Amino acid sequence: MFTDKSRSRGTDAPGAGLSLEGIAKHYGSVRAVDDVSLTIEPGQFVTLLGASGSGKTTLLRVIAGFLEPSAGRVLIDGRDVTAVPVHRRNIGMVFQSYALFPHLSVARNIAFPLAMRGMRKAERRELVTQALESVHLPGYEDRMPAQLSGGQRQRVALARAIVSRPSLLLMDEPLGALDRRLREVLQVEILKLSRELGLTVVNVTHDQEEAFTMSDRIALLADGKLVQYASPEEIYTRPVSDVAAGFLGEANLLRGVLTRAADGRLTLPAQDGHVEIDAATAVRSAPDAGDEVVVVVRPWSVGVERLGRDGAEPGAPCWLRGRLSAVIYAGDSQKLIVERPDGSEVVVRRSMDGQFEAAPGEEVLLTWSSRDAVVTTAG
Amino acid sequence: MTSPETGRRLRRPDFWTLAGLPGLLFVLLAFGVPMVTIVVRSLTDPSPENFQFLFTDELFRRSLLRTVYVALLVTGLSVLLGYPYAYAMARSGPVLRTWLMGALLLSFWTSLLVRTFAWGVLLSNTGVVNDLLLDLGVIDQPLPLIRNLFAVLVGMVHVLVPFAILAIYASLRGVDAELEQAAQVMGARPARAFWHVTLPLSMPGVAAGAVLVFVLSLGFYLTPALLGGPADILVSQSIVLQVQQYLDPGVGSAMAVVLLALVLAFLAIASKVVGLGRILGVTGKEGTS
Ligand SMILES: Nc1ncnc2c1ncn2[C@@H]1O[C@H](COP(=O)(O)OP(=O)(O)O)[C@@H](O)[C@H]1O
Ligand SMILES: [Mg+2]
Repeated sequence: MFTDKSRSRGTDAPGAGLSLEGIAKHYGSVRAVDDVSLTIEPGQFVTLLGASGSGKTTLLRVIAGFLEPSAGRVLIDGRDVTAVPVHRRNIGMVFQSYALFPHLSVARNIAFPLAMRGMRKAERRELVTQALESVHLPGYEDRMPAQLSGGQRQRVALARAIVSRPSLLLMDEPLGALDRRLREVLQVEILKLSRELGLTVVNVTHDQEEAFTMSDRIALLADGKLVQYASPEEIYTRPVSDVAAGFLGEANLLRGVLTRAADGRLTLPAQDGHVEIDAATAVRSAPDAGDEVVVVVRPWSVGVERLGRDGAEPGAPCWLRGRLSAVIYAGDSQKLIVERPDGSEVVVRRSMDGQFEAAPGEEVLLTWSSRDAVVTTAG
Repeated sequence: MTSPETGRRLRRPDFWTLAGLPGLLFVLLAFGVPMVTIVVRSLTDPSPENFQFLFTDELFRRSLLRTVYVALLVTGLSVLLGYPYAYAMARSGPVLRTWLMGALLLSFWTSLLVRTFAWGVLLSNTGVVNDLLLDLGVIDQPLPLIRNLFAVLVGMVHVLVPFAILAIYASLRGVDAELEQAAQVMGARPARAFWHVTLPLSMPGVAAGAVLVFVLSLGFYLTPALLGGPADILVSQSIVLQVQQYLDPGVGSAMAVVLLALVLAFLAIASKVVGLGRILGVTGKEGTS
């Protein structure tokens, strides 16, 4: 495929579609990846998100061809490449350690994939220059990798991964070693570049914010299994399980068995509180009394007020009582941590203006609308 | 390439410096004194004409050239044979690595004499190899496997290849396996990935191993004496001949001095190119700069 040198290298080169069908990878009794199936549309930016050890790297290496899956197939543009060796998959890859060749200059590093694919020297030079410009490092051709900063190495690694216009770009925690500010800058740049080139990207990260900012879709992995594969918004608003809810954004998870009140409403029993359920917010099947559920309440959905002195039960459909244990200022917002009588904690976020002055130790009342909560199950 | 030791040498003596003193003293007495004696003797027993004699002596010149020739062959073979072994050791899993390392150390722990005699038993006209080939009817005359260059090379390479392996292994351990994988993603067949990435990055280890093996080969005595032919002797054998047969320790000392000068000159050049610390294995890991 890549030996066809007349292939258009225009910026509109479309990315490939990628399908994983029942991919599994076992190491003895360890199921590093356990029956993962997903489809990535051409040009999409997909992030594999999961805790350390959840199988992200293993899955990426199966896609790249470094690892043979124990079961399942990898299809690129509909073609089964499971048995195709790494060097014939026409993939670009950015490694976490960047894997720049220390004995080659920046220019020769970037020209490497072109040279391996038989391109002539004169042609290579122009593409190298272009690639360096696209990662904002013009004129760095003759530097050695050891003379570059971490961010510059990352950019060179990126330039090297895209210079041969692969149809698929794989990145394994590409920003993991960089400081936060640089990470944010590069997130935007990588995203822009991949969009301009129309690349299909599979990015690996354990940073939920990065996943949120960059991805068209997120594949959420836990213990080698695919928990949820959806857009960031959908995973945030409709997490299929408590695991999914906990991974994307802060979440308060209330667990229990549903009961039906006399008036027919479903409630979750809560000490010093009352939690009604809106059946329309259920992610899976319609909930019923006796179901074991997890109710997800996002910190921004919770209102907080001083507890009235009278001790009367509030009439709100959803409320909890607790003692304010900490107030944390986070830039333009405030994070309140409320300790419940049973020892659990509820996190509340609110903007700074027009709110009552909260001090640790105060008894507070937390309220929210049942429509803002999500009813899901333990995963 | 400056080694980090240069800065360290300037520090005031600490515990380890003091702890090293007895060893230093021992080396001075056991090594320095005899060496000075030899140098003095080469000049005074009976006179510096010892050297004049050497430079006109056709036999000595031939043995010197032959020594360098054999050392080069041994070096080349040791690196060629040692590299794949070191590579397997650097890239294998813990189990295989332990076995490979164990086999290596076993040969280190076995006495040089035993190993050399073992080759004698294997290679002699009535030895294991010839007996087997004769019995199988592959040959009807014993092959000349001993008392020639072949036997010397086999014996010396066997003794010296572990040094090459360890030097190359140390270097390969510093080459991230991910680099080779990166090359493969970029379209390089595994062999090309090795050729363009791993091999050049491991060259410092190859050079260090080669220098080490070469220098050690120059002074080899026992193996060439036991396995080599009587006609083509090496410098070390010439020295022994001078002292034991011709009873001329002055000329023998002069030969030893020439050999030593050769080694030092070579090391001086090699350390410029490779870095002495690396040759001596003081700095194990290669920097990327
Ligand atoms: N070569 C291997 N041998 C045995 N177990 C492995 C190997 N590689 C990965 N694993 C295991 O597979 C699981 C997933 O690993 P990995 O894919 O590296 O996770 P992640 O990249 O999400 O941190 C981990 O439990 C890890 O210990
Ligand atoms: Mg990983």
